[in-house]
Amino acid sequence: MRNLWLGLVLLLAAVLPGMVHAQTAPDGSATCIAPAQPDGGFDLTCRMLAQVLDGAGILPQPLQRGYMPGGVGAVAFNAMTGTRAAEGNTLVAFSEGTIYNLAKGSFGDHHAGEVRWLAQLAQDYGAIVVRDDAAWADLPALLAAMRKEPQRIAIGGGGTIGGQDWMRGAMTAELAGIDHRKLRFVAFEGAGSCTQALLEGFVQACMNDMGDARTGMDAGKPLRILAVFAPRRLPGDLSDVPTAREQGVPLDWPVMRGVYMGAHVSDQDFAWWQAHLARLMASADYARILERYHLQAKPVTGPALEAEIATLTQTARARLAQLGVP
Amino acid sequence: MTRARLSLRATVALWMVPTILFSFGSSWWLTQVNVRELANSAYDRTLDGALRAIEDNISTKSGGLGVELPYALFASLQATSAGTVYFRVSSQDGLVQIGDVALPPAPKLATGVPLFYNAEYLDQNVRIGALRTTLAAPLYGAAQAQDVVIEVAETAASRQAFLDRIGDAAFWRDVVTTFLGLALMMLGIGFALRPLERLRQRFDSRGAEDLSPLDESQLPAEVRPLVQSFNALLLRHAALAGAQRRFLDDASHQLRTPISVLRMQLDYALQTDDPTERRATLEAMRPVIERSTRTTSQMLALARADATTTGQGDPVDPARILSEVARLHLQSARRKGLLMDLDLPELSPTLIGHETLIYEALSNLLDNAIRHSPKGGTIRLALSLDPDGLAIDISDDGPGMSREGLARLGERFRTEGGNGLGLALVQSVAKAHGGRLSARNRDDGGLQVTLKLPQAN
Repeated sequence: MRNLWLGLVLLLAAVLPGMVHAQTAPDGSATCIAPAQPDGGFDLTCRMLAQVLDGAGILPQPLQRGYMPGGVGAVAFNAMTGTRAAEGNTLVAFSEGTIYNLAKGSFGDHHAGEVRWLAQLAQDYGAIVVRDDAAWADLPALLAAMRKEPQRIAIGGGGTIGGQDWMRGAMTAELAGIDHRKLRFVAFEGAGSCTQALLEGFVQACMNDMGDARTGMDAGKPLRILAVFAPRRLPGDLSDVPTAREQGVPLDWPVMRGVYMGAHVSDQDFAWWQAHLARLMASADYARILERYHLQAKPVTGPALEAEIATLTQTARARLAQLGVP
Repeated sequence: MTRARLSLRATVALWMVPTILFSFGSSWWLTQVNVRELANSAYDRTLDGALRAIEDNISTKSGGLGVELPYALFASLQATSAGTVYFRVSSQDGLVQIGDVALPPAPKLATGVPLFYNAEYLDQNVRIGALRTTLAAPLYGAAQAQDVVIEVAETAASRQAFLDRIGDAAFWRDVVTTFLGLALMMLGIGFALRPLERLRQRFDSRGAEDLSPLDESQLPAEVRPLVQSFNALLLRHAALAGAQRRFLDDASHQLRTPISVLRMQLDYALQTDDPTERRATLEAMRPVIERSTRTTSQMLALARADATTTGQGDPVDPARILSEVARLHLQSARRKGLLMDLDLPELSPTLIGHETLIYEALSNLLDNAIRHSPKGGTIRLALSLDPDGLAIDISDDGPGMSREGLARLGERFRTEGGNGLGLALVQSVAKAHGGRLSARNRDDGGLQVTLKLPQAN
């Protein structure tokens, strides 16, 4: 029933942009929460969204950005299904990892149907990042070192065992013939924390993503991207990063960059956000901002997004079972 | 007795082996235990520091659980421990798990009290410090603030290496001090035993005739009694040697005198032409020869008695011997008109000894009594039994003995009208049989000599 209604709103939004403009924005200043430490993929999502929204000038005040670390989204999810479930101007960044954690039960007694998935704003791909002074020039070199002394090379990533980054590391290891149970995996609150640990020498590699890694390098962080988990090299200036496939690891890892809203957000507020985001994602500014953050365009909203999330949930369950994670 | 053949040095060394092993082992073990405790408490303090640093860096301001990790501290920890540092921060509700999520599960913890324990992680021994702390504010609107467990672990290799190093150092220290102590002790024993060696040299350098006592004043207290006993033995030997020398002197004198008298008499008898004179001279020679014969036989008996050991011999019937001796001297007693009174018990006792010696002793006593008795006197011979053994009393009506004579009874060649061998012989026989010779002047005049001998069991 809601889907039908949403579909109607989407239709209206597409056909009658003027009507959308006439609707009123939700009360108070809007906030985008990155449920992690700064400088990760969630942060990137909020920063990008802020630029898009502020550039369009549709909010009475600039978009606020906040951080709510804790279980890479678990604490935020609990807040958005609890105390803050009805905030009509609070958006929370999510990724495919959020879906993985939900599928695994890491967020507590919750499931994906409890919040309102607003939009996928962009597409990113997983990447393996090391320090630029690291001894490993490419993925095979790193894998060879891991094969030799698995416990000497700490792999960092967002989320715990069973989370998306761990899973990417574990699957890479398995594909390279390394027992993933021998790996040392260090969990962080997002890619930003992992990068910090990497630069401090506490971990040797991070299962980060292309967008936040490249953005970090733009900001002067001394990193080296060994591989991107994409079916083929990414376009533009990202084409210098070889894929994992090229280096003998046939694994793709598309990363969702999206935002969701609280479980009890009013249909009206949800519709307002959905209509505006759908319109903005079609703009030239949007494409330019995506490029700045080294992200790929993939605007998805509405039923398409719900379907995508359902598929992801199934994939996550299958992969967890395959890796023997309860 | 193999022990007796071991030298003092070896005996002391043998006793020192378990002592040294014990002190060595206990010292090393105590060092290990103490150092392990000290090292653990020192190393645990740094872990505790890291725990507190993380605790201080936990923030709930954002509404989430933010943790700033103290990487500088981790780096210095890793540098000092030359190992790897691990950490984990996990919330009680299981939502948050960051760091080394595969660390072994923490034991039950009391809030605010750090716990340190050994565990295994990634096939290595690790020391883990764990701290449970309550967040400043509840997350996602929960009823109360959640608890968070912080764990910091480090590989125990450097700690073990440190302990091994200390253990090795303690081991070699103990080995060196033990051997030094042993060497010093052997040296000390050598010094302690040096007086004994000097004592031996003093004995070795002594002349064969030197029986003078040894000066023991410079000797160690332990050796002094030994040397004192030895000196006493030397004194006894010196006294015996003196007595034997005197005996030899006296004996040669005793024999030389009658022999020279006899030679003079023989010369006179050969020179004289008067047969009557010659016969008289030869007659005069007879008592001299008889006395010499008696002296010689007494000396031989004495020598035999001296050579006899107490407690040996055959069963002897003293009553029979006394009777025989009385019968033998009956003739000479009659010549002096003496009355002889023999008093024997009804049941004759038995003693273990040498019949000839006892016979000789009793014969001498009776001979003395006869010689010293006035004409017409009485001699009493009595054999009686008392609890100590048997007593043979011989009393006469003679003049008795002087006080000095009684005091020096039985001394050789000390004579009150005789050759001085008779009583000496009796004395010697008495000693040879474990008995005793005594004499007293009777109150009613005359001498009573008593020979006490132990009875056979």
